[in-house]
Amino acid sequence: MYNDVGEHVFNILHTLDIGALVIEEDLSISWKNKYFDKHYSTDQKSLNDLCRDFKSVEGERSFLHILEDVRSSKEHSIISVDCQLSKRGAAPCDVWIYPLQEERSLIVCQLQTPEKTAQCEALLQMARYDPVSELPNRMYFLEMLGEKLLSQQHSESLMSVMVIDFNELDTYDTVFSITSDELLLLALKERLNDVSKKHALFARVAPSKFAIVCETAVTPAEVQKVAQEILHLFFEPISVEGHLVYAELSIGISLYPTDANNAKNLLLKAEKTASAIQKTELNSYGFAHKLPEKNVDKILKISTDLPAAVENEEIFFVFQPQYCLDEGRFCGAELLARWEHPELGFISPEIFIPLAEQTGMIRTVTMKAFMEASKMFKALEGRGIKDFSLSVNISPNMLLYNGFMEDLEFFIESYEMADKALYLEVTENDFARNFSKMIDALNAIRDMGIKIEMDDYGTGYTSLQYLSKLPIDTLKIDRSFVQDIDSDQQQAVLFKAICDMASALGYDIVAEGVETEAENRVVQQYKNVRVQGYYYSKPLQVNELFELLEKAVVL
Amino acid sequence: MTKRILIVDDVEFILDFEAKAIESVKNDAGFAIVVDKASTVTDAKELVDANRYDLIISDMNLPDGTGTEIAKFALEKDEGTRIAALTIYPQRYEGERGYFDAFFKKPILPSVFKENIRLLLHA
Repeated sequence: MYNDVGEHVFNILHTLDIGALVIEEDLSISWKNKYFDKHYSTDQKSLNDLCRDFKSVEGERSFLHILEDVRSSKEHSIISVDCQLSKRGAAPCDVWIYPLQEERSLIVCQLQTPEKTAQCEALLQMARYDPVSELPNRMYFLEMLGEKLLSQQHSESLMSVMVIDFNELDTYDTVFSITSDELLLLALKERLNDVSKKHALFARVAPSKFAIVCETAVTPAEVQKVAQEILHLFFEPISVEGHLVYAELSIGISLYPTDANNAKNLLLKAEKTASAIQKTELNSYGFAHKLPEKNVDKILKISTDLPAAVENEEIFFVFQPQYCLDEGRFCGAELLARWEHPELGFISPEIFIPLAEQTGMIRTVTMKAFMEASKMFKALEGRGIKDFSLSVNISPNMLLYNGFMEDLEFFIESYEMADKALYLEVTENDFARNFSKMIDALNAIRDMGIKIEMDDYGTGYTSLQYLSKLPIDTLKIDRSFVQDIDSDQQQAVLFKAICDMASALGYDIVAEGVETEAENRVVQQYKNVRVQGYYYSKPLQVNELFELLEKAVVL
Repeated sequence: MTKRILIVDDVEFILDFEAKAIESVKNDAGFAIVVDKASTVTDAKELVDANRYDLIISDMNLPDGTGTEIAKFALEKDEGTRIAALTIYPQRYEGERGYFDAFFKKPILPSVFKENIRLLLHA
């Protein structure tokens, strides 16, 4: 019903001999428990009647004012009143007011007897804690954080709030085997324990979110260290009922007092940052002050619209042609995803690809890329164009996903690509994560007859020793080495060194980003290199690519 | 023994993908599978009327209606037909879950899709 304190609290309230009701923002009563219904006059429908009957013993402040104070402070309050509600007439009574979300309040009124006070305290305890993790819930977290802030108001101490947001915990369930949510949650909490016990507050603030308040780590550098420590805790998978779960998380951080000076806004800012981070980068963290509001909103909209975009064909593929210098012809193309959003126009792949990785939609995008490649191979064959390769970019998340090999095999077989020159491109940085798993995956892919291209070479940290051991066929030299290669002597030296090394190791070479005639003149000296870039062609639609190929054949 | 499956989706590449995935299940299923395709509720109902299906897999959001309409129609004709819904937003159709044996959440992956087909055909 009101999920901020949990269904269980309301169920228990029905069984107790304590009057309880929920008051909406417009002061109407939206829920009352059985005891309230039975023992208080049934014609008490509105809060105005209730206020008249709750005479605060504090005198000056009316019950209505107290209620407003509670709502705006988001902290619960217990007041003593002379309650006229009971059919037996006026009696001293404690009224406990607890703020709920959406400006509702839960009101519990009880006669002042020790027994009922104990019941109410037990209830308070329950309303404050999340029943599964046994951690403080959102409301109690805000209440405690509020108290902390209040006590520090006059000192100049700093504080940080960290929200740890686990990506779509529900997607770990499948249609046929439901892994226990609760066990997974407890396992996540358990992992966080080491870090959380060093810090002041630890709570479960939403179904998939935990929050930590740090008083010892308050400068960006210190907080960053804690965030890294937390990310590190989830490098290894979690075992739940025999299933290995790789938790995907993002951490949003807000700093007191720079980002906000009250509990609610500190938590909200950290939460919003965590969701925005989650959409753009896997297992990462970010600071609230570094994310401009507008960007956050745009990212959230894009991520909502993404699932339907592939099916609506808003996401489509263009082909970036590659030119073989030694053969003097266009000999391949890289498939590049494009998204034309009906309202926002073209959205950069740099924004939506990481987002697709986060939401799992990358699987559909990649699937579509395979289908496009298959269609293109057939079309090329139909036009008698042979020896033409197609490269599909692949996210490391796909490679590490368990069913990927089976899926890839399916595409190769069902879409008849077994004898085609299909390349999968993996970026150099991807190798840094899960190195050995990555190597195994790439070896298996090569066994299927698919070639591997290492994309963006030179931007990562692959040591030469590793490079010689990687199961790859082609090294794609990053555009930053080609830029100004004609005028920058150092660039030319580095480019030559990479080409020499790649040739010695037996790798094919692709140079990216050849844009000017002068750059091309230098690159052309390397006959065994394939080149791509605006000097040769911009990315093309299918029909444009065929025009280019046919023109080139005529030439 | 031959099992007959109807797949319904208005997106051509998904329909094609599903057909290919079922085709590859067929190879090791030990029984023949016949696949029919439809892209609208109207076409699907016509096929349901004319044939007996062991399994129907339908997209929820179709140009002329929802997968639930097909499910209701099919169940009226034959309660034994197993029906799976395919949707990006399973939570939107929580209230209609009773008409379906399973909800497949998009994006669909070949390996998961094939496994689900196997389970639905054997169960």
